[in-house]
Amino acid sequence: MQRLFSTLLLAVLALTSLPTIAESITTQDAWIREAPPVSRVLAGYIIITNSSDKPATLVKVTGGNFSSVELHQTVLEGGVSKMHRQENIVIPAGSSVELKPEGMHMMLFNPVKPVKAGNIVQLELTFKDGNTVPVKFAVKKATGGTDHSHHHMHH
Amino acid sequence: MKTSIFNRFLLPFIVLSTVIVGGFQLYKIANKPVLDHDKLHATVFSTPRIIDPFALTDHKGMPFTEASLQGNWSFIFFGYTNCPDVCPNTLSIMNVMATLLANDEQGRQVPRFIMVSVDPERDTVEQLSQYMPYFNKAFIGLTGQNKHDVDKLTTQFGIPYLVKKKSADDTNYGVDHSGAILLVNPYGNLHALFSAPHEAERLVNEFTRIRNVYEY
Repeated sequence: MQRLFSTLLLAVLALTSLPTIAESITTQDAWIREAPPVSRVLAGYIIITNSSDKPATLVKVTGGNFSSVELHQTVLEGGVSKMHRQENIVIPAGSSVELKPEGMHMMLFNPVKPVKAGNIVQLELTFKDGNTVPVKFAVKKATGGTDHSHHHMHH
Repeated sequence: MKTSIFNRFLLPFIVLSTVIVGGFQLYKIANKPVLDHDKLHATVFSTPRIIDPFALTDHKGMPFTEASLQGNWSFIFFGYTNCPDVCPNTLSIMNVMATLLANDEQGRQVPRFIMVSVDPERDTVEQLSQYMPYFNKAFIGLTGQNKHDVDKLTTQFGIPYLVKKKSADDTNYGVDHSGAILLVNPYGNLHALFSAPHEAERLVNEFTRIRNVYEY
């Protein structure tokens, strides 16, 4: 009886611990720019698509062994590059938002261990409705484009 | 007979050579490339500006002053090592530029690529020594003892920046800074300015045109 109980408990735990998948949210091109190990701040980029008929609001990003993750928008104002912290990022109904170099990005603070090109880092994207979407980010060495141009690299 | 040899061979040769060489010079003068400023993204100064004295330290711990800028073209960018987006992107663009310029048909020297730190408090020589070679082993990082050292350069270049420290013990602060890339000529004078956003091929193309006119 006790054994049956614990089996049931395990089953329930397994079910409830499954990630809630926000089916209307899809992501692509999730990547983190590899930085020299002395750099304490990294940037993450991604394309988030919301196929539902309601706007989705990204409110929080966690995980990946970073002390904290913030959402930022780089803007060029009068020739000066500024980073504006964003409380959230709204993905309008039926459209996509692209986080890309020198635009919107995730700021990843103080990695616990070095983040190297080739690594996969999982981050959890939490939306306003409480849904959390786990996303695997590929760590890449950037090639020097303004539109994450791993398409036209020169070596 | 001796004069006729001169008349028949040497004189025509001299005349012909003079005409050819002179004609070539005239052709060269008439065809001197002119920078069409309207077609340039860069701002090229009509008179290159003298750079006032400054004293910084490079990422190897060596002194770097206005005199260090002589003898080669230099691209100068202002940034900091804890900058996650714009600075690594710009340094990667500079690395593409260095690669493109290394394939110079006339074998000209690859220019210097320099990042001046606008965050001397966190960007020590040690920090820069581990940061700069990641992008390119030839890149130069410069820092100062304090903000005053850096301002000697930023003030005369009109490079704005703002350290956004929230409190004295804030270590995660960012720095707003100019996205411009400056071009210094081999005399050590400020020659041109490229405004952000940057694109490696365009920078190389415009630099090549600027250099061709300058060295003509």
